[in-house]
Amino acid sequence: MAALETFYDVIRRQGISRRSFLKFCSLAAASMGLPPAMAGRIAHAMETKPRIPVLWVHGLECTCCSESFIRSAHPLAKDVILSMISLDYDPVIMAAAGDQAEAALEDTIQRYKGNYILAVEGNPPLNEDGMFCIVGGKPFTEQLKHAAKDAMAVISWGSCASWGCVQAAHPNPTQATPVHKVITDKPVIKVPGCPPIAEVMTGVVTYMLTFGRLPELDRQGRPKMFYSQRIHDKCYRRPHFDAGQFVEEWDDEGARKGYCLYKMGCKGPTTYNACSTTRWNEGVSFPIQSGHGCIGCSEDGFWDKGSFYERLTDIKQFGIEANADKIGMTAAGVAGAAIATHAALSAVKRARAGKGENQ
Amino acid sequence: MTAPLLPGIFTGGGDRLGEQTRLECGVCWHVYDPARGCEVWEIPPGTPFAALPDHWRCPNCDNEKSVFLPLDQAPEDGMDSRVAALVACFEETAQRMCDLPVHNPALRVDAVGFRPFGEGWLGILITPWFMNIVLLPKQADAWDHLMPGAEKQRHALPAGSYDFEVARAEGMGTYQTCSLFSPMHEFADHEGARLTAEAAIDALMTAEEEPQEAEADSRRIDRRDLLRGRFGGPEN
Repeated sequence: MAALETFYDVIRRQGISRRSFLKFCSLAAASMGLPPAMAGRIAHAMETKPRIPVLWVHGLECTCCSESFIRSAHPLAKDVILSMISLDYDPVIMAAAGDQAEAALEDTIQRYKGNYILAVEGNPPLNEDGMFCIVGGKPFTEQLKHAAKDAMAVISWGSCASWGCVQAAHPNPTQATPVHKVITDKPVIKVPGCPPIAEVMTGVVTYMLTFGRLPELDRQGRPKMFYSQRIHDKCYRRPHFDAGQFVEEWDDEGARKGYCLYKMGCKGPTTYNACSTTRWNEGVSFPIQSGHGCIGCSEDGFWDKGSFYERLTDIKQFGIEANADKIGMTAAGVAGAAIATHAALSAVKRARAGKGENQ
Repeated sequence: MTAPLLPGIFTGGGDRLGEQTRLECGVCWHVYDPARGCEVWEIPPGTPFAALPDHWRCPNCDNEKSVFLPLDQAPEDGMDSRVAALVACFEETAQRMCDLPVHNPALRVDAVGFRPFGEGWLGILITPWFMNIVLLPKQADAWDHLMPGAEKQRHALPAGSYDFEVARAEGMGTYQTCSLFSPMHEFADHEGARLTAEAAIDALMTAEEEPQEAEADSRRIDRRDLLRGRFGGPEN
């Protein structure tokens, strides 16, 4: 028996038609902002490449990442993504428990040495030798290090794994530490957000399966295709910001008219995420659309940056720090023609709508 | 001053003439070119028509200034006045924005590189709190049926597709915007912002060649070729 079936084998076995399969491929291409021609490549990869074995480990977390992941609209997680990757170990959704589960973990590590992906949800607490999080009778830190040793790459799901999130908020009694500070010898892809958008999570996995490499990352280690724009850049309330029309108080006239929530503490101007373009729940809405400001959940240390309802005042500092790809135009400001041109070109590129996206 | 002889001719509204605009005498077709000035009246080169003294007359037929017609100015399509209105509108908004942290006091409201595009005019608007691509409709009420915030409008610019937000402002009607920068703290001075805006509008108006994907695409196997035993696309 073949050790690894392809994704296509699996969905055929599940009775999914080739037509649906190809439809899935073009949706996947669209969700990653790739041109429609790439759908063919995705289909080809799915048909020929073996599924990627994935170990999904859980540290200090709330399972919101898993909850988000299994609700992905397209690619449809329940039928497709879970078939696309071979989720060999995930305590949340696997049938096995106890010794059986731990055996599955060990088995995968041994069998696919250097070829599996380690997905980490939550982070390890380092204080008291990691005693604040015990998995299978051992500190989670140990399990994490053990599983990461032979992994091809590590995906940090959510803000916990990427930055630390609430358990690392001041004073951080358990010394919860983001994954990239514990695993330093493997490529770590950060997919921050609390939780991350489902389509972003599946998009990252699809990309890795299709192209057999990591997506392009920004300087903070986030996939550029989903984290290069701020909420503010593509917010549908942006014209109200431009026009200086703000909600001044909850439930005032401006709130009813859907004005900009900046004065109510919206962190959109400093938050890099795809919420305002991809939105949530199959593209239905996102926080700002339902009348609440962005809380900046995908940014580093968002719990320690003051109240969710406090207006951004140190936007200057914050903005520059958060913008991973800004090129030396900070200190001197944009002055020289060359720098101006560079800034203009990257802005023009950033503002472009995803190629091949037609939803 | 006597009433103008012909309707529609230049009647002193010099503020609406460009500094470089040449004018032609409505009677003898003599052309006044600001770049060359006027030897007969000893007017130095570089003098706009509006700055000519009142006693200046056509050096050829001795008619008054008022008979001159703008020569190379395209018939007024309203772009300049609409862009001016846009700037004025945001200058007013700036009064309300100036005490917010998103306001960069080194900058001012400025419109850069507006030009006709499709059914509107496209250009870049700089304010102390954002830099946007702005699309103004030629017909002021053309987009009044669009709901602000409801759906993004996609436009194909030479550089690619861009999604525009629908915006509505008092006195400006409905127009569309696409964000380039906001807030504007990376700009130390207005000059830098202008340079960036100019480079951006140039980039937007220049077609970007497709990367290798297009090439790979052309090598796809054609079904007909495949059946005829030719793989890897047509040979000739």
